[in-house]
Amino acid sequence: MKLVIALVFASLCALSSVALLTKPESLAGDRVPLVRVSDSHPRRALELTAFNERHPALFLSLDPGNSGTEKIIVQSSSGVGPDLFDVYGGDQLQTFVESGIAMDVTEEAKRLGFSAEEKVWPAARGEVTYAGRQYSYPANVTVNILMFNKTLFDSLGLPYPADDLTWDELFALARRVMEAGGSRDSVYGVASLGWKIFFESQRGEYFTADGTQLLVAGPEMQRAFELHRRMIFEDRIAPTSTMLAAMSGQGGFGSGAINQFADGRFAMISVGKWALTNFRRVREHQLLERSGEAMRLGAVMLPHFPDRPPAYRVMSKSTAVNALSPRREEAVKFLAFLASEPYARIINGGVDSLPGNPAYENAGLEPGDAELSELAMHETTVDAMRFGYQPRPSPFLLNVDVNRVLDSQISRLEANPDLSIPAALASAQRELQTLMQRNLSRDPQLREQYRALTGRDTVREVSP
Amino acid sequence: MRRDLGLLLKNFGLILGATAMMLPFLWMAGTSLKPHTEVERPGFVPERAQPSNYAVVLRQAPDSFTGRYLDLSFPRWYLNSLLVAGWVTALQVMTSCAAAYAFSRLKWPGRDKVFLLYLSTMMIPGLVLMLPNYQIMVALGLVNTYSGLIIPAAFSAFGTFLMRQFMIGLPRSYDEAAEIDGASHLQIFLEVILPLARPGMVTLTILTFLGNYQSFFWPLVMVKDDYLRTIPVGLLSFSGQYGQQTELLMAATLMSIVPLVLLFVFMQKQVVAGIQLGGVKG
Amino acid sequence: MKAPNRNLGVAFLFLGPNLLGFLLFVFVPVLLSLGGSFTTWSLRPSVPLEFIGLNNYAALLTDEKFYFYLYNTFYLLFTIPVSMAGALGLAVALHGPIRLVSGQPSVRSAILATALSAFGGGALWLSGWPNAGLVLMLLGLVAVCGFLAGSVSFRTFLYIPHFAAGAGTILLWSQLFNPNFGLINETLAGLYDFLGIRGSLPGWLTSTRSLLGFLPLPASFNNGGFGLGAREAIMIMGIWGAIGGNAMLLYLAGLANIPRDLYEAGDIDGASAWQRFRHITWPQLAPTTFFIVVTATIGGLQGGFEQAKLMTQGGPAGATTTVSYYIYTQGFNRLDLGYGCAVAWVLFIIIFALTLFNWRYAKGEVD
Repeated sequence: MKLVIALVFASLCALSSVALLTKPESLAGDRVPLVRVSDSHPRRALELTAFNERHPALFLSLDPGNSGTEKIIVQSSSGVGPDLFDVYGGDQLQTFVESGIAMDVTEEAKRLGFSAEEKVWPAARGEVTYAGRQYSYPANVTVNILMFNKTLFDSLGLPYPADDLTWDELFALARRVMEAGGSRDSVYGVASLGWKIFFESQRGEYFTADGTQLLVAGPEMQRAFELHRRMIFEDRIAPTSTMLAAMSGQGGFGSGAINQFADGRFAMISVGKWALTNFRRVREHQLLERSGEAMRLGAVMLPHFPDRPPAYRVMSKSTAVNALSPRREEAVKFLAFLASEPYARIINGGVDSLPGNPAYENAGLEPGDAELSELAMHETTVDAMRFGYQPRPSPFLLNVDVNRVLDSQISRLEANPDLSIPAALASAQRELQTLMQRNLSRDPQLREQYRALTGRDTVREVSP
Repeated sequence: MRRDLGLLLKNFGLILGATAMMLPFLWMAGTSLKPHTEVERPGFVPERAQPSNYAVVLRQAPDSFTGRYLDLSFPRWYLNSLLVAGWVTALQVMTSCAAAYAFSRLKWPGRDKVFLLYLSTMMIPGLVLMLPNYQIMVALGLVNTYSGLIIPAAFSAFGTFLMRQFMIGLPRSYDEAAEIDGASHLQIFLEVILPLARPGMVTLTILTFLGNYQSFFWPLVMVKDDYLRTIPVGLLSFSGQYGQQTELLMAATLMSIVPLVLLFVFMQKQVVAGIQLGGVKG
Repeated sequence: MKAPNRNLGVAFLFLGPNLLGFLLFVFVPVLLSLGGSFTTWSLRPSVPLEFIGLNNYAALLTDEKFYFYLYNTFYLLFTIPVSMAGALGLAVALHGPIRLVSGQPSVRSAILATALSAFGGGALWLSGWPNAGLVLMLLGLVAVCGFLAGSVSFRTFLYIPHFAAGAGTILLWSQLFNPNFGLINETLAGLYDFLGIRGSLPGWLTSTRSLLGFLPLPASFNNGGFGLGAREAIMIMGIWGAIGGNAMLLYLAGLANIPRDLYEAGDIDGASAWQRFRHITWPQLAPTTFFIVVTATIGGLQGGFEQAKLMTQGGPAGATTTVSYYIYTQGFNRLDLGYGCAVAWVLFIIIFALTLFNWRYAKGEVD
């Protein structure tokens, strides 16, 4: 046994020396090193190279460990976080701002030319600002459109979805798809629709203008929940949202639904233009395979309610600077780079979403594959941006809480179609009021602010 | 005759059971050979097998998504995982055995109270300890180093508990005999108790090695540089913003299991070997 | 026998290295989290750190979510007896040399199994059943390894699920549980057709049903009725990972420590296999069983985090949210560490009480 132990330690020491000897030299040399936490998409490398070429004194590298907020929060609240990190949407930005990790870049943005007022799509400003201050700059901007599988529609002998659809018309079309495709296994009408999109389609707001009261039990939310229930239990044109989540495994951005759409299991899908990266690949594969017809796609804007103008929630992945980084002055330059034309060319060249700066919406745009309607999808996305909006956040409650609570009510509804929607929403409202009250009781500044607005210290129990 | 029938039934059951346990891996292997477009389809067998998925993970072929080589270094993750799990295991087995000796073979005042204290720390969810622990690592300057990955994991209440349970069952007559011969505690520990506790040590080695080879959360927050990444953290590279590359993830997962299987085949013979040593207990 | 006090120094030397690390990396953080549970400790810099006494605990007592998640956590503990019984059965079956038929491991049987599975599997594959063919080949492979290498191969096969824990396996299972296209429901659908059953398939990860769903649970538990749902899916996955896992390994090590002469004495008395198990094996394994029960309960009550984080985000309707995932969401999503710590310490008290109960109960049984 002594021999075994000696051997184990000898080999561990040998392994360690190998590891330490082969430790790569820092590529930064005498340049100032910067680290950005992002995903590991191969296009990130292009962005880094372009940035490093423009700034010979800086050296930006990638930490692709993006798996939610906790890593950045743990590292940063101990003072050793990355210099730059990606923020998925305004809800996450709120979390980073409230935890003091995202740096206020309002002044820098004016100085270096990436301010939200001038250089960001108007409808996307809420994704990079919070309480009137700017904290990040979009790495991309997107709005969902309705993509449809032309091949599938042709084979079923159905007309493509028209422009300017209402929700009723979409549901009727989806029903026809399912009737016509009845003989095939599980062709669903439409993927990735749900209460949130129906709510946003009415320009729904979660809070009153001053943020002190919740509106989640209001008429817009009721209508959204009712449509959700109708979609699943009456028209049966879509799987439940939990089922959809189960299909996507852990792939975050609904990648399961995207793959299934590409596989012909859904006739239509509500998705951002970025999904084309995936569909390009699928089509290439199908062309190579030469079995059956390769997928052809088209897209229109998402439907609207007949009594309302169209409205779409604008989403953005943005990049923020760590407020505690000693190199934050240098890191801010990357945000300026994101607003530049060379960056917009990288984004447009890779059929990603739109660049954050509307001035370069078409920079470097390539015609792409006509059968996938790449160019048309770009134009539809730009058109839809005109109807873009952002629900306003409240300083008194994190949006992630609101979403979690409402999602939980929708899964209750999906499990039990007879559940009363007003009761479900009232229960969500109560739960959120309790959370808001707890935030007030914790934070004297917040309490002060709340009292200034309402004259009270406590959240009034509004029975909806 | 009845015995033979029983044996046959038992073995048939074992073969079926083992097959059932392996089925998910058949699925995994099948998926790892599928092209991206087939990943969501049912069935193990790819319609068009694409073994180049393995080459993509090992950077011997470009990714079909973008036509570029992926920015990852699987061999380095392998090395790091083996290194970190290896050191943690070696240190943890040593410290656990020594502590277990003090808790099981020595009588001293307050022994059981201190032990209960050890045990009770296992009952606190590790999540709430992560932030304080991380700040301690920052204070010690160990963030983003191999030591930061190894040292906090090298002490374990679980290991101490496991080894104590093994040692407490060993007959007292052995150390008493050795003590009468004038052996020191160190000698008794090394030459009498440790050899007897070998099945326990081997078991702890396997458990610790596996647990640390797979540990995800601590390395995720601890590591910032590419060259320190371990396999579980590295596997994140396959779930980017544009959806997950399931086929690559499965290929990488299968490759990451191979050293564990080898280690296990080698080590578990040692668990069996305990039979000759255990035969003296009465 | 030396006086106990003289051993204190020696004990300290043996304990030293472990104690040092333990104090620094375990005990100090533990104290910090205990202290934190009495404060407004928050990741929001705007919230000042204030001592608020038992406020967090008082809020917890009226938090109906907490009771729901505690119920989920306890419900998932049912995996422990199932997987322990399985692990013990497997360990006993695998203990000692395995003879597949009386006599030695047989090369002849191996050749036969190879031929059968290769031809059978190949035939199935070529006649349009590639998946069934592959399964038959796997069966053949397992059998051949069994014939040639005996228990070593079975132990490895059974333990392998334990190696792969992590993102890969979790993704794998969420695909297997897919209610529409997953392997499990496809197999069940085939079985239903074959048996002529007309019924709906389980919703697995998408369903709030559970085997205890017939109970009149409080409304806040989002009970979906009796059936197989997300909790059962998580449990099946847990049992798959645990049945041939650490518990089996510990039982094997425990079995290796049982003196052979005990069995020889039993053989002379003409005891049946069951009697030998009941009167020799089971009592001799008592310390191992005790260890497994204690650690599995401790681990189980803290469990469910990874599945919830990577597989279900705690849903549907909170059905797979366990206390440890609740702690995580409180700390890292709501940034309210003080409350998270209070939840953790209430959980600690529950685990501690249970362990103490196990300990007292086992004292009577083991000794």
